Amino acid sequence: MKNSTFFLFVFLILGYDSWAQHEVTEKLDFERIIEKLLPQQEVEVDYNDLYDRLFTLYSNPLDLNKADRTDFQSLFFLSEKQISGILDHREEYGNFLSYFELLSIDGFNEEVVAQLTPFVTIDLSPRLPFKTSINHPENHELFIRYQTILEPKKGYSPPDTTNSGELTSRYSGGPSRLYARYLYSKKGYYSFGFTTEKDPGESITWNPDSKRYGMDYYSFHAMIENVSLLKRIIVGDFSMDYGQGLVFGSGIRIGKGMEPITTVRRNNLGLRPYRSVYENKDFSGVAVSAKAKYFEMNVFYSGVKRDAVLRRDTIDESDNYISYLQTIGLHRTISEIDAKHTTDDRSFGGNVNFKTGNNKLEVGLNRIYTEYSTALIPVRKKYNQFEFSGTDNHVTGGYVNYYLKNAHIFGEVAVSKSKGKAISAGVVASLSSQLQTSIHIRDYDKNFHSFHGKAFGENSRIENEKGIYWGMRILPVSHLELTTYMDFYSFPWLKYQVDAPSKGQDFMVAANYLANENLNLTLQYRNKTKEMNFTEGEFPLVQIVPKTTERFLLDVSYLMRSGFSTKTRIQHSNVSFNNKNTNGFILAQDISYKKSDFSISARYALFDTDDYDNRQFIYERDLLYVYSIPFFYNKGVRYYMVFKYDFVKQVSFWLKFAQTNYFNVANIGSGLEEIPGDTRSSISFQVRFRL
Amino acid sequence: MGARAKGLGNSSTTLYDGWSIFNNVGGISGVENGTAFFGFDKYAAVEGFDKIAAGVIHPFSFGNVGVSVYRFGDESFNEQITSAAFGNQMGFVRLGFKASYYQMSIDEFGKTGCVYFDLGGIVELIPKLSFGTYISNFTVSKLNNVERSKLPVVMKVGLAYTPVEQLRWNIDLVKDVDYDAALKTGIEYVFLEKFALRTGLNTGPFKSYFGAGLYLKRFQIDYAVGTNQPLGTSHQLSVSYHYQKGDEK
Repeated sequence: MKNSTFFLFVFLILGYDSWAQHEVTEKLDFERIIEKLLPQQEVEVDYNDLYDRLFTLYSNPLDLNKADRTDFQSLFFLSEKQISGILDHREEYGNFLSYFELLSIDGFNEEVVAQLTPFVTIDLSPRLPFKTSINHPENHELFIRYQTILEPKKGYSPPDTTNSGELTSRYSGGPSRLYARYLYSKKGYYSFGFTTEKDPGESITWNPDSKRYGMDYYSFHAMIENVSLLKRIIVGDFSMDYGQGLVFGSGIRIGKGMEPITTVRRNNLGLRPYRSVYENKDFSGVAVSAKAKYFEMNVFYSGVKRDAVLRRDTIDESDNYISYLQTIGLHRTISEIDAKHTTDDRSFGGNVNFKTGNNKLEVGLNRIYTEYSTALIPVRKKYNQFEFSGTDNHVTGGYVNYYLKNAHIFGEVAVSKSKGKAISAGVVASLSSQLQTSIHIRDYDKNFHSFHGKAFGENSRIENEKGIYWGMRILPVSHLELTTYMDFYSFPWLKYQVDAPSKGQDFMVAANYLANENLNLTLQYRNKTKEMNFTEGEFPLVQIVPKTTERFLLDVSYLMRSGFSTKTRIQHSNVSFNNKNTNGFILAQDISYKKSDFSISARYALFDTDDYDNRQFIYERDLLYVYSIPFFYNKGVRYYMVFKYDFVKQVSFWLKFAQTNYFNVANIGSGLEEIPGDTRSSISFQVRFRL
Repeated sequence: MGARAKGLGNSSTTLYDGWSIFNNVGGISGVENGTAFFGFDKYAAVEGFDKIAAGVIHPFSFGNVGVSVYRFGDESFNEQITSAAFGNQMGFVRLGFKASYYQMSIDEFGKTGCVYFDLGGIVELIPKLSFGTYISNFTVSKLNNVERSKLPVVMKVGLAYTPVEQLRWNIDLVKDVDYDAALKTGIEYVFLEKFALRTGLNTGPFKSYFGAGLYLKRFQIDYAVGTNQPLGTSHQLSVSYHYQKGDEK
């Protein structure tokens, strides 16, 4: 046991505030963790949803005395050894009375404890009766947000008249994005929430014929927890995670990133309310979760309206069909509005989960049946001939989690209506306090169809992929962390723009050095290869040629006691494809200042890329709950300023101004998104009322 | 500018002396006594690439104020920059701001110019290791009356490692929006408290530099030579004069 002066020292270093305060939102820790966890961005995927979910996860602290293994796993940064340490300690000594007790556990030091404390709480008060709890919510807040681009985009200009006398397409609404969110919740008791949004270009109009009812998007949920045998009842929008995501996998699809160990497995997060603004929600309906001793059971019924263009069979003009579902949720032009909510996705499903008394073994079964109101018939191409076609699908999966000392062995096997199978399995282990490793294998048939799953892999859908992944984290000396992963994958069937079976590999190595509590250095190198189509001149034969992308990153962050902090980031990329080399570069300098009720953060960045392949994704500070990793290509500068002020404890205000100024383009963007000139500016603000 | 900076291969983002008004305005707050300086740079074999620069940094109670002038070129093509700067030190951080008027004159086309602004800072990260950053023309100014004529934006970041007081190793990354990023590095060694020897290297394009300095009570004299294919070697001489003694401030 360590002596009390040491505890006092740790106490002073960590600061008393961090023990008491649970608002992770303004913490640098949160940003660091998120940045580490997020998949390395290389395609334009909206990670807002993932960010939102992680944020919800992190802004509801776990009870250190009640949380189970899965809860701790869902934080992503604890090793199996550390989690076992907490659970064993609880078993042996009873409830934690103070965070200091963590320091006596093997595998915990001041850094780990400092990282953990914002996300956990110690609540020794007895459970409140529901009636009492309803008057004492943990969160009761309302967000209102406004964002807009200052330059006029073409989509907002008056339409032109074509030769045939028709008007050209334009956006139906104004350029602003409006968002509001209301939440009334208490963890472990209940959650009631409401989210609404209008995207840029969408109009606020009441027009039931075009399925527009005021704002463009609504989401709501009402959840009650822990009422006798019922663990959770949700009415409204929800998501579900069980097994390895082959059948049920929500937006928390964390892929390969700087964190190479814990991100390969999916956690049994179970049923959770859906609060995101990402319009392609998982489920909407009724869900019930019940628990009796070793068993847990979840059942749900959901009906979600999806966007798709309705097509009519040209020969037999009887039935409508759709060829794909639109997931971006934009309803700006007449054709986008026409496609809104045309297809019902009706799903019925459930899960049974069994856990042994010693928590060492967990097995479960997932099943979902889905029916579309309109047949989904893809336009047949060579590459997509094994894709789903029809109106209904069902997927069944069985999974297992087994804990052996400091290792977690996990896996799921699933089969869809088409008889296509998928396997996702692996192990995450702490071999010692200094070394953690993870191994994962995946084998997804080309005819496996899962509409509500999200699993580890290269493809956005769980299909046509085989791979083996190996990750490692080494802590050779204190303050230094080395991480690496290697991933080898193959795609046994053709893919979009890849006209033959193909393969590739992905390799990453990173070093993170925490020189002292204020100075953090990160170096990362990544090398990724995939095969792509290539046609040479007029030669008609398509060849499959490897495309290799190398990315290099250097990040220096420095935190001063005075409240100032600076961060410098340099990113370089090199893409080689068929003996042609192109490069990309960005250099960003951030400076922030924070006082108790006020913070300001600014960036100046300079980018220069040869082409779109070398576009540079870079994390930006934004309004709270707005996740932004914009990307930049061409030549230019990018700068922004974010300002936050707490008027009173109950009212906070955020403001962001950002501008991108290009050196080598005359107009920005294309089509209806085109902006005349070389400058793009945006302004956004947000108010939060805490009631 | 400044023959000390040139001797270090222009890895000058973390230097703090009078010449910082040209190299990283954040560094002018490091000038403790009023200083006036002058320097010129000339290619041995080519005409028309001469540089002349001069400036004054004066400490006030509210911070350091500096003015400078710079000229590049000859009669047929020349650029002139006149600047005023302010710098201040807060704890471990030196911050500076500079406003400049840039004027370009070409024989047949006449004159044009614009106002632009620079920002810079230097911070001591841990003992012996400091970090500098500099943004020139952060407002993306354009030349008056000329189409599509943005002045380049240049960003520099640099580290300086000083294991002992006499030895300094600088490494800078410089990115002009119109050119590839370049690495600049330099080493300075001071001996017998009065003499300094310097050398530096640049990548993209590759250049090498050598320099020497003499530190006297009131004067500092520096010389540097640089190779730049295909233009050959260039020489620079600069002189600083501390018109205030340490206790006169």
